[in-house]
Amino acid sequence: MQRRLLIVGQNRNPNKPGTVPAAGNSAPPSAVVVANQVSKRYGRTAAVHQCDLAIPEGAFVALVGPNGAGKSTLLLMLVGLLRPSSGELLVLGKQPSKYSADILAHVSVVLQDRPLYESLTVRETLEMGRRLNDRWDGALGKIRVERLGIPLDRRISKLSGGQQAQVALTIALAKRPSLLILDEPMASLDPLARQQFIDEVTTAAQDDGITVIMSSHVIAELARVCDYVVVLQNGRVAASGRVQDVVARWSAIADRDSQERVSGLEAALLGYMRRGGPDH
Amino acid sequence: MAWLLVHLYGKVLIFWMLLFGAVGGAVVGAYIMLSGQLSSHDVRSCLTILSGAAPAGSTCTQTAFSTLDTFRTANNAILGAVSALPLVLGVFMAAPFMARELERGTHRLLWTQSVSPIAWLVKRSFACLGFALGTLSFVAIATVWWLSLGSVIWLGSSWPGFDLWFPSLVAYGLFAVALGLAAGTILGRTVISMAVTAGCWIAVRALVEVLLRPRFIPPVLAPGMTASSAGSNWFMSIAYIDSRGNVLSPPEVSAIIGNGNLESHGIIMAGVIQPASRFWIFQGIEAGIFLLLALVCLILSFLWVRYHLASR
Repeated sequence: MQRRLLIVGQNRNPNKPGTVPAAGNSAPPSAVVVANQVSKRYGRTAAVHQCDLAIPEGAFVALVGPNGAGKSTLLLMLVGLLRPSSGELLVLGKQPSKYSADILAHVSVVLQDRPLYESLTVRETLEMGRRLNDRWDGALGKIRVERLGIPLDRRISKLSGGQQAQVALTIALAKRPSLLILDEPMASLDPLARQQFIDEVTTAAQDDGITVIMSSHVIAELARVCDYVVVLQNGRVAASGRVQDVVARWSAIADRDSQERVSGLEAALLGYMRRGGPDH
Repeated sequence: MAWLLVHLYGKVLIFWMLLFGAVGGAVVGAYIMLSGQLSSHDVRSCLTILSGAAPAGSTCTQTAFSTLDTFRTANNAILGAVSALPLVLGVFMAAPFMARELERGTHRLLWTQSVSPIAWLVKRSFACLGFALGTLSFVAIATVWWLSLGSVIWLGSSWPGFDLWFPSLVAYGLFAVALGLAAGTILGRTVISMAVTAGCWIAVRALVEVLLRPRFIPPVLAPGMTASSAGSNWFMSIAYIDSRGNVLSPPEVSAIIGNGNLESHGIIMAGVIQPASRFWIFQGIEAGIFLLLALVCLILSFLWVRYHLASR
């Protein structure tokens, strides 16, 4: 049985007070997410298979892989919308499938289809967020939306895809989360909107020391902002670790096997995906 | 959550309130318009004539006939509209209320805030049921008023407007809403859940009305009673009783009497009836059945959310 652990690195924001309780025996004390042999099956199909992860506090993790690799399934398990079939999954030291209000207060998510109430205005959407979250930062929400030039009195249905994504991100950030989960949030955005979105996420993560896990199949855009990467393929963790370690590892493999020159994360990940991981 | 529901469905709520207000208002308006005319001397005389209790040769005035026609038209319209309201609520309000939320995935927005799936279900269900209870009660009270007027001139022999009295009408409505909520929650598809709600509600209503209601309590035999003399009893059918008290079927009666008559063979006709005194007992049983079914629907919704939607 193959076990891969995303090795905990140094906290990008070491001055931030520790908010993560001890999560498990094998996990470092600052791990925000710990997955031990987590699997998710739909009938006979394994969407996620024996996944091991330990994601440190303050990390910006790119979760990459081809369509159907299990990225969304893993992320939905992290926010409690799906329950693991087996294994142990801890987010902030607790099982997310229990839907406890205390864990939800610290975890924000932006889903791929950005479920928002289309009949509400942006202002009403923010008000909804305020009423549903004790830790809501109303000023942050309003300032973000105004800075992005999104009219507060416009209905969600009248916003562009990029603006809707930004509103969804605003709701997620105004919760003042410890962990921000983004499931293909840029999938339907044009390049400019994608750029703006990722810049906003990066800034928020740097300013507040939020742990970010972001899935995407657009590797190039994630490569320049993430410091950790998890490669999923066919529901399995094909590679994981610090970006430079992953790149270095693949470079060594490529150099050994084919004398192929590898530069950058994208090339390395493509190599991993073609091969199905370094040990395959 | 209450704030959110009001903002999301405020306009829809106003529409429903206007609709129910219009129906209730129409019932009250019709009552006010017709109550005076129905108590007039002409109409009462005409009713006596129509019931066969007046001396031979008596006739109704044209005005009385016209008043009775107007009443019948209004009565049919009111009974039709009011009896459809529970179904309308279940199909067009409750089922889409849950199914659209699941179809659009917006429940996931709330479930990843501070609203647990069970809290989401309970609050939405109670909001919907509470609204249905309020609006249906208003219409039911107005309808009871109307029915009391109808009973003055009712010429039939069954319990007039049984389905529209307050306990039954409200119970039908709550069942329709709970059924719509369950169908919307379990099926998660708007059109399909609307169709299933309509089909199930009509089927259950028909089943109870045709098969169960006559058997809530065994009927009694009322010798000599006919449909026209049943008064406020529920006249169900005619039975034939021999001299030893046995109930005979029509073929048995034919075989016994041949070309003779009933009296000569000691056979008497009796009405099979549910006495008027049982009216409210039947209302209670009918309402109880539908409230129980509503509860079953709510439990199904709860189980589906708890063990399927929230723990997939």
